[in-house]
Amino acid sequence: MADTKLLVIDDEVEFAATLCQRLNLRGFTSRDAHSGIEGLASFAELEPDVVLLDLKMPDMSGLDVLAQIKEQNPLVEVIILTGHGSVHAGIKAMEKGAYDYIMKPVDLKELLKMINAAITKKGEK
Amino acid sequence: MLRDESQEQTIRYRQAESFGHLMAGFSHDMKNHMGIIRESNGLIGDLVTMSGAGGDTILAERLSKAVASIEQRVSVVAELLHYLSRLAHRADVPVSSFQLNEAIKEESVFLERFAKLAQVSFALELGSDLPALYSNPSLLQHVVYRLYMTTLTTMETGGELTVATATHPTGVAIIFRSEAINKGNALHDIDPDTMAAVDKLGGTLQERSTPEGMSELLLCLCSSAEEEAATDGVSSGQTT
Repeated sequence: MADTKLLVIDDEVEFAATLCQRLNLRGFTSRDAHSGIEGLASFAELEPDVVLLDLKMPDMSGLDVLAQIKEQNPLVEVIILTGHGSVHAGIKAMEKGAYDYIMKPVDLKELLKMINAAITKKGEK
Repeated sequence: MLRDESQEQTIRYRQAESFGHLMAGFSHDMKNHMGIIRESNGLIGDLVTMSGAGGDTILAERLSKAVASIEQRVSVVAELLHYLSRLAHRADVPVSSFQLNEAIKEESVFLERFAKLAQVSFALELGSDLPALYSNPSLLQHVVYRLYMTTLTTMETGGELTVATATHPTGVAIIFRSEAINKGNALHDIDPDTMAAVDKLGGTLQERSTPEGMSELLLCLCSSAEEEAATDGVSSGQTT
């Protein structure tokens, strides 16, 4: 699992950093970025297997970041983190190529299941 | 005068819309804060599990209990925020097709509190296979709140108030069922503004008693199919 690289892109610095620490404790290699632009730079550098991406960020929308990530590497799986009340935002992101979405505040058990499923899917490609 | 009324309506609509936006923003921010609390708490839990609190089993147990308690509360707040967010976003689209049970479920989470304050027990019974509604969901939730509060004020302490949904010959019905130890008559106590809102929804209000001695106030609404049929009927009537 240490070979599995995760990138968390979320403008909530404390949230992203703590989530990364918890993912690293579970054997992943994860890194956090706190804006769309920083996230895209980290994406090119880290070449992650799975990206956890916030939908609403001040500099760029998560959907725009998603589009650029998919353009750079269509094989990477992206899980959307959404604070929106309805499922529409998550479904819209899935239509644009996201693997799945999860509501904030994130349930780690549910997120881990999703990450593992995304890794399996990526492996099948 | 008519212009004043129209302006008044527009102001009220914009006011509701603004509150909806403010509430949606608030719930979004709160979700982010709860996300940080949940992850930080989870990290403490992870570290306690890994370190075993330096071999102090009593301390480890206490910390684990506290972490579990915080997680439980976070889950409750997360669910409330989820419903608050959905409630706030209902005002985004004035008229839409939606499932009645979803609209009632998200509102009932907040209605329950008023029953507790009135020392009345609350129950929710959602009917199955209800047809979709094509209406103003935000206005419907406003009407449900008004009818619920009116019913509640007519009830004695210790009573039971059930909000139920069911199919009805006209489409669907929302039923406010209360024990017949009421202080008053809910239908007569409904204010004219709420009655006007019921009209605007194309709904009707009925009152009845059940064989078990319960009072029921019914808000009957047309389903999407019924609404479309009625609209078709009107337009064909106009053309012929």
